[in-house]
Amino acid sequence: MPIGGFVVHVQPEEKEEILRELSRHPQVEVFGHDEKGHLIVVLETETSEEMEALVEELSRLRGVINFNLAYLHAEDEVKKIEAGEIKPEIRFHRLRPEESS
Amino acid sequence: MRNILALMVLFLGLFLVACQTGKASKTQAAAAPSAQHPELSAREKLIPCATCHREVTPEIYEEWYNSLHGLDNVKCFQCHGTYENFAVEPPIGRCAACHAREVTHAPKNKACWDCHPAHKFTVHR
Amino acid sequence: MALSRREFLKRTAALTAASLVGMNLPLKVDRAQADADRWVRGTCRFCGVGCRVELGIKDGRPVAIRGVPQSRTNMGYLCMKGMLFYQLMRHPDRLTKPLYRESKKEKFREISWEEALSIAAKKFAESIKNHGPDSVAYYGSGQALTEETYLFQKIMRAGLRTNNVEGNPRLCMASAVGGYITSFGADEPIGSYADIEQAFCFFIIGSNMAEAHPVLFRRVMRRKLDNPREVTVINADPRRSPTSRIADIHLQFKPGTDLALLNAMAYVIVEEKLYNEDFLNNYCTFRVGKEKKEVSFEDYKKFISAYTPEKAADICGGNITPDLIRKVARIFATSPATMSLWTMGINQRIRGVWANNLIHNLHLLTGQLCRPGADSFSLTGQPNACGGVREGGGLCHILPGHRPVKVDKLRHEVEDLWGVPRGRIPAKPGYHTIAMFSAVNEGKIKAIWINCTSPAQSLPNCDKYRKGMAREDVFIIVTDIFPTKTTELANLILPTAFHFEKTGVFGCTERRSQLTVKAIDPPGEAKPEVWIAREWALKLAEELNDPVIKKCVEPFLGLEPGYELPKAIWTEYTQKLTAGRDNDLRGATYEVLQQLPDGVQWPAPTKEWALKGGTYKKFVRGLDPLADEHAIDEKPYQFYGPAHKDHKLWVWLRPYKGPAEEPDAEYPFYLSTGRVIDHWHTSSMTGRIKELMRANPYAYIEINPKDAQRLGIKPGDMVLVETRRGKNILPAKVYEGPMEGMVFVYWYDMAEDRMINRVTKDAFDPGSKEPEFKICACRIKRLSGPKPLKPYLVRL
Repeated sequence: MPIGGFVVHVQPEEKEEILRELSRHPQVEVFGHDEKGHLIVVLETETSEEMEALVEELSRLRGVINFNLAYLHAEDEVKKIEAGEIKPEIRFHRLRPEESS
Repeated sequence: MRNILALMVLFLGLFLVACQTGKASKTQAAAAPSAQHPELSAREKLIPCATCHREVTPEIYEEWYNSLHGLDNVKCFQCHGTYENFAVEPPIGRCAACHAREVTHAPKNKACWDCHPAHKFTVHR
Repeated sequence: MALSRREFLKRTAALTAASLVGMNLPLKVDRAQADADRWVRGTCRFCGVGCRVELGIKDGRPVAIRGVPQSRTNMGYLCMKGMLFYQLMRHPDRLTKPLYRESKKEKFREISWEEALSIAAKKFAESIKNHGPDSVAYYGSGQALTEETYLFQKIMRAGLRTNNVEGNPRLCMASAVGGYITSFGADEPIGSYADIEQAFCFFIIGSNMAEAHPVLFRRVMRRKLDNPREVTVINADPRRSPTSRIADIHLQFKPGTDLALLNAMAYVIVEEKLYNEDFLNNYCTFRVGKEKKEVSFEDYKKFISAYTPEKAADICGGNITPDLIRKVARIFATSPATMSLWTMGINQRIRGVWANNLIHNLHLLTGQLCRPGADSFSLTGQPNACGGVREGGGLCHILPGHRPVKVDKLRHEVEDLWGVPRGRIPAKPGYHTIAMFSAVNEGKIKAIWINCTSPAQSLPNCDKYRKGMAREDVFIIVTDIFPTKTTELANLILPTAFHFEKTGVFGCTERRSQLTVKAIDPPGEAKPEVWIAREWALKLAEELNDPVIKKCVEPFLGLEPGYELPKAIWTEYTQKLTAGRDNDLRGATYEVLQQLPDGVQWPAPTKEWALKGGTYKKFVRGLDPLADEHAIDEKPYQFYGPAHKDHKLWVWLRPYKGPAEEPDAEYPFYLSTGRVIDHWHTSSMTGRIKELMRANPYAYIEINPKDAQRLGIKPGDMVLVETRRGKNILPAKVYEGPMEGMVFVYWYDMAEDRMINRVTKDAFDPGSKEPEFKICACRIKRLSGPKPLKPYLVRL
């Protein structure tokens, strides 16, 4: 499962509310924050697509200025793709005849 | 969708580059403890925290003194430790000494003071 | 701490992100609060509140303490002492080997336990053979486990045939015991901590609860803050303390004048007819004098008519006005439920028993008793003064189960229960504490065992008694965990197991017995006291060729000392000695105690009752099983206390008496002493915890700002304090605490210059024999500006 470390920049006065909102998501863990409005957030999801969607959703929260990826670990997901467990939309090779469905 | 992911990968690339320098400071961040108390002589260390902090950080002292912790004599070192084990943001275990029930039920990804502002520790409902 | 790989990756992600914005994350694992492998439940080692705690053990080491949220005493909260005392378990200063020196001029040398116990037995035997049984003594402690006190006093009384069994509760709670027995006919409070949450008026007198009973103070504070308009807090203390912060009314009177204040409050209650006629008619009588002569309510009214508020205000000085006395008396009487709380300000007095009586009087006159929230509640200072000493027979005049030693029937009862011949226990009480150490001074006591306390520092006018203890012909055995001012005067030092390193019961202020189970082994060769006492008794039996001594410990032979031995002792004590007594604890077996998050309040004659927690309120039918058992009529309250055959509560006619030594021209200041929150007693324990030592590294003398200005004393200046008995030099704390004309010194400091008991007075209450630590006369003088000071702890 992809693990992503993010620096989220928010407006300081919205920080409390945003922290509350983030705490409602089980895949989100806040590791730290400061008075300037930086939040250190780690997202953990099943797939990269899910993470993408989550990032999109969270960046739309009121007061969020930036949602920046700082570190991504996707090893597990890659393994699963190679094993055929996950079929991602984006492919790293041309579709083989038997994969087209 | 494809584009966004591609952009992410690009971003990742860029950040990984940044992370090279970041890695050095990451090692630093992991090794460096949370903010140290300024160096004091052995004699100065015998002064109770509140005695100095009344002058040095008067707003924090006032806030603490007028809070339930202040009224009930929960002193600075109980949360922040003493010089050898000092922590600006206390390990939650120190809150758990008195607030074991709350710590077990609190959300794991928050520190207590995210919702209960230090040093007032008022409850927000 | 083993991180899962996933956790590790998440941390790496977070740290990377954080580093980009220069943020420090609090991810360092703090060794002090690292997750423990297991948590062992017990009671806090310190004050009389009896907080329930859990000791966290990791890799065999004690690493943390946390409160037990389900406990009815502390509800999960702790004070800083309770939070940190795990640091004492592996402290480098711990005594780990028996130490001996033939002469007090020599240095100690390490010896084996076999040798140590032999010497201990030989010395006591020698003294008994040459000078009789009363030439030996045992001075114990309200911090010793009940099992320890019980076993030692059994050996002393039935084995060595002396009632020279005393303990440091003589110095703190004896007046409260006297007060309860003379007013209610039975020792210890009628109600419980639970009354706090039902009270509407708190009368806190002679107590600095905020620092001496912090976790209980929290409950009072909470009650007040949650009901700011409905609850009134009255604080009566010559000194403004942290407790005064929640007070609506602060009564500040000259030290020692409170008997006038209390009688004047009674005057107002009588004059304005605020008394509860029904309660008085149904449950009370009026008594006066040594002969306890019964008199009428009319006689009482006549007696109290002399204590007008005007007269009292005159005596009390301070901020006491007649109107204030009237106001306070009215609030006390008319509140839906009034709870009085007090400790040393009332007990450590030349007429401490009377002071206790006068507080009880207020509750008796107004009927503020036996209802939820209404109680006359004496706070106990030490964790086991109640359970071990007051209930377990640890004072020279009482046997286990609240039996006065001089009552033949009860003494023989105990002899029978112990299976020893009648006549073994002497009929007369032994030496009380001050008499005991005076006897040491006079060479009448040749061998004394001092357990878990430091009288060299804690006795009033201590230099006088240290002289006696330093005598070469007085053999002193000290059992303790650290060197103290008392081990300095010992011949034989025996290292003991600390709390959680042994198993045993503490009985706290609210009659609740709570069990602490052994969690780790003691360090080095330190041993639990129950093992030491048992082995010593066996050797004594040989030395004196007296099989009855062996009989005293026979039920305990061969038992494993960490758990089985104390369990057997507790079983004998509760099942045999408390059966049918007012502190019946038969239901509170170790098994029952371990099933509860806290403990059992006596009376608890059955396991069923004990499992509910025991008796919250004594003497009330339906709430107290003994009230139903001993009922003499249909009334809801039954006062079956063993000391009052008439089953009544006694309102005592007590005259005003001031302190033994009042200020005069030569010594114009009142000197009072007390504790601070960071340190426990003589600081032999708390002084060794860095956080606590730094919070209060040395004792100060608190001086009122007006006095300080007049005498040219600035904060930090070195001040000479002199009384008729000696001098001390202490740094000044200029503080709106003590009233004008009064100074206040903390007594925990071991440094000779700052050890305040060197100058206090050893006058004592003729009834309770408790000394008047709280009041004497002194003079003060500025010596110099601030000097660099060092905290001091006795080292070997």
